[in-house]
Amino acid sequence: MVTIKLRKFGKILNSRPFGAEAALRAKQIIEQKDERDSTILDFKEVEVMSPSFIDEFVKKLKEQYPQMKIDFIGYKDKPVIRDLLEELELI
Amino acid sequence: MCAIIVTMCKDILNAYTDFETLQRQNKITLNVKTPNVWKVTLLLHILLDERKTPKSLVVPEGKSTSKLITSLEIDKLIRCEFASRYSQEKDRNFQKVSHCPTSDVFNARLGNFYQIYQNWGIKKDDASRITALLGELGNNVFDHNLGMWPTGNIGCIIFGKNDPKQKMLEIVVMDFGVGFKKSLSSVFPKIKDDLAAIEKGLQGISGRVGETRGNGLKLIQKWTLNNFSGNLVIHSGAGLAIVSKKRMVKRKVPKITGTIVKLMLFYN
Repeated sequence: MVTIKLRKFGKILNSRPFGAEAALRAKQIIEQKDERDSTILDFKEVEVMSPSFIDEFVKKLKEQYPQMKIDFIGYKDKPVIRDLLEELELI
Repeated sequence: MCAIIVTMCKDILNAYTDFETLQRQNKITLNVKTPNVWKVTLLLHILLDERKTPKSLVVPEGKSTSKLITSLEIDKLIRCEFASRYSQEKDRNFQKVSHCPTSDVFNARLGNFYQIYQNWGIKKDDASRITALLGELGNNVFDHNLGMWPTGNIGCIIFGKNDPKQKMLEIVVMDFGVGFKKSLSSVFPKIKDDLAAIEKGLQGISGRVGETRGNGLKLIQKWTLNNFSGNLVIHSGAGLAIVSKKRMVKRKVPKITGTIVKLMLFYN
């Protein structure tokens, strides 16, 4: 299992190209682990996120790892992030 | 709040009264006492349109008009002729006009915009949501125009106005891009006109062939109407749509190059 802290990509996460690039970097992180059956995306300290970014990021991850389970944490005290994840049916 | 939205809708429609005349002029005089945001937006679009001959803005004497121009720093983008005496005082409730020619510049400035909203006393969660909305509007400009800009005027132009008494924010994002109709015509070649294209865009349909996307504008609409009880104005080509919770006003209006979007947001 891998935990990816989105704040390491920035506190403001915007745009599809950035989401795609972030997914490529996330792949580098995942590939360092032997177990790749699940990944946790941690939104702690992320302050702004656009739907384009997270839609592209998760889509690209799922393309690379279709069988991998993706969980989301660190969003419960952030109504905007929570709304986005719900809107995109990720939680 | 409803009364403000109704008044704003009338102001928007009235702003087009002399629009075509202004488009033909080389010198435009800002001759309203307290110009509303949409009127200023349309004037700015005319003045920055590279397809038209170079224009200048005449700013008559008067504290409110010169204060508006210097607060928005419009004089840094276009030629302004000020009356002999003018105020250099700035109104801190304006977010100055910012031209972002590329998405990198836009993304770099998004953090500044987020800070501006917080400096205006907007609570963090609202400021975060507003910045996400602005981010999505800017993304749409670059996603749909990159590599296809009709003129040398690339990128997006952003400005805003805060009304702390009403706890209301107006944000404008404009571009000189291809517009909704051309963008959607790759997917819908027989799309009737600009208005029909705007309606399709609001339904969550994207013009990017072969890509699963299109939810951005739908979400912008949802959050603007539901989370901020506001309205969304889109002028693209010759189509204008004013969307509020209760209704959508649709009109054919004088044609522009590109798209202008304005959000009116009531915050907590």
